Amino acid sequence: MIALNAIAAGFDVIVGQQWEIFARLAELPTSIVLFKGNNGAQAEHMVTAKRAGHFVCSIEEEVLAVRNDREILRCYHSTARPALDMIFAQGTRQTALLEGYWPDVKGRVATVGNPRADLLRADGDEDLGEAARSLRRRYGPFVLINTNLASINPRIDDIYGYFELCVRVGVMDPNDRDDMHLLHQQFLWEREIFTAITTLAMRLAADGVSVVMRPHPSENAEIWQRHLAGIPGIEVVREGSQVDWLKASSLLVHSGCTTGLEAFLLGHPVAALTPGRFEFHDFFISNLVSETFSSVESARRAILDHLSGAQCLDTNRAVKRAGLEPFLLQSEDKSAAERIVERLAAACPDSARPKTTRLRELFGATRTHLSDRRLSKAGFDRDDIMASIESCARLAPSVGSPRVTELGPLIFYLRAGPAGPNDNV
Amino acid sequence: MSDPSALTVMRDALRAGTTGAEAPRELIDLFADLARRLGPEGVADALRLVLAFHPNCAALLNIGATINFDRERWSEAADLARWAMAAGPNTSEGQMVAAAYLFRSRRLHEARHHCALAEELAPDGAGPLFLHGRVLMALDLVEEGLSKIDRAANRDAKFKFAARVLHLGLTAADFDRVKSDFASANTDGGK
Repeated sequence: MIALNAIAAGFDVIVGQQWEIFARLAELPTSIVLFKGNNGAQAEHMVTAKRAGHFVCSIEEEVLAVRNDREILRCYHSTARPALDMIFAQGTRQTALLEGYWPDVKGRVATVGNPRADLLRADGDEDLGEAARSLRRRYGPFVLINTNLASINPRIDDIYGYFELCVRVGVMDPNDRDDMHLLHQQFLWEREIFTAITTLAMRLAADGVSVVMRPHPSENAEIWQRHLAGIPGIEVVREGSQVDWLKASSLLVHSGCTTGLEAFLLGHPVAALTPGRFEFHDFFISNLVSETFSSVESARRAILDHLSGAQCLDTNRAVKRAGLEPFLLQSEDKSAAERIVERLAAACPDSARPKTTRLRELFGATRTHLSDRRLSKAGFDRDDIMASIESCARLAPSVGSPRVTELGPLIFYLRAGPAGPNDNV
Repeated sequence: MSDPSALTVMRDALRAGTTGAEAPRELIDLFADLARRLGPEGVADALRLVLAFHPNCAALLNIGATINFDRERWSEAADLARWAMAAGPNTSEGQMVAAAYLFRSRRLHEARHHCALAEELAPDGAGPLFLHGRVLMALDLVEEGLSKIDRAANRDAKFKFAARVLHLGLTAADFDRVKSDFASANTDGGK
């Protein structure tokens, strides 16, 4: 959505997997570089981009469903701030937090909302879509349970590997007592959730409810498949788009996952399990907009009542929406993508078009930066990108479909107007 | 993107030498120096070239394994490490390197095999026990895995923290516990 709005404002856009772009920051013509996050790994490249003369700005993909101040600040690495010309915040709370904690960023933070939320709101207006319809045909009515236990059950290595990764990317200081206490609490919290959410799945299945469990993409899905897939009434799936599964389901159960907020924005019934006494339950906006249940039994009863039509789970939407507003700007007049592009156009009026015709040559080199992990993490291919561009173009008809040129592996050059026979990039 | 100057340097060095199992020491040192200065991306093509001339040089293969590991190409790293083991001396450290790379790329049965060899070669070591324990846990052999990890922590205090963390990971035992509790609750009339 940001790319399409940028094209409508007269920009040309390069979009794609970050590693190939990072490797060429110094060679790219001076332009705007928009980062998706602000952790240590991203910050390193922000510094390179800044040195190369680019206008450096960021959104923060990790905070869409987060409302805890400490966790939001944790996403911003200390070396990112000096390199950033502009920081896009999704709500007034985030802006006030960043400006209050780091006075030096005052004037560089813009409250714009979150393009991912805009996309969901727009998507919610559409009908189910073929993919979701197909899931409904295949599975019938089902309860979707999204797990999010990537610290105790990571996709790569194990729980200790997760700890080492946190230290490596700078979100965790092993010498900081508070950090270590928090991490320990996080492990215990996820273990408690595992017990509650797995028990709930088994109880619902025993009640005759079809349950589809989707482990988070950062989780090791195999262990779920090995130990739950044989239980009648429970399916463990990883494939397909989360939004399609959500739309196809009767309701979503989560435990502090971003998908809980996505469900709410789509107007979908959503329940959150919050077992035990853990401060983490209050960390997430997704719990704020979900019906929360501290026990398996209370969740089970509410879900069965909802499915039977006795009592709808989805209540107090207006109150929840009002509670959400400080955390996520939602005004209807403009989308987050439009606001971001407006700010960029005002800040960098001369950055509209790259001053080079060597882009294909620059990006056409071998895929040396795509490792096993990166390919797996990228999680998309050319068809996904093209489908995504088309889908966004449908949601923003005033912007129109762009001209797309593939510059290299998963790197795309987007410009206004239909493709010509001699696109020379 | 490989640095063309690295390729030129290696080409010139190879032109002056011969092919064979063991690369000359100067060539290994030159390549190690290039890798240090240019990083894994900078010497990718040079590595391929030098291995074509000296395919059974353990030192070069080990550098290659490390480079690939740094590039997160774990399977390639694992294969090069095992190749190096076959070509060079059979050490516990070498087996550990191969096992670690295999663990990362989730080739768990192969990793287990190399862990067992590493343990045989260093029966008093804590490192092989520790890694072997992690591999066994990933293979759902939780009790056996934790036992090895705890023994590693008793042998070497540097593994104590990691052992405590690993006791909190999600394992097959957790699924068994929840299923057993669920079955008991149903037998007891459900609660």
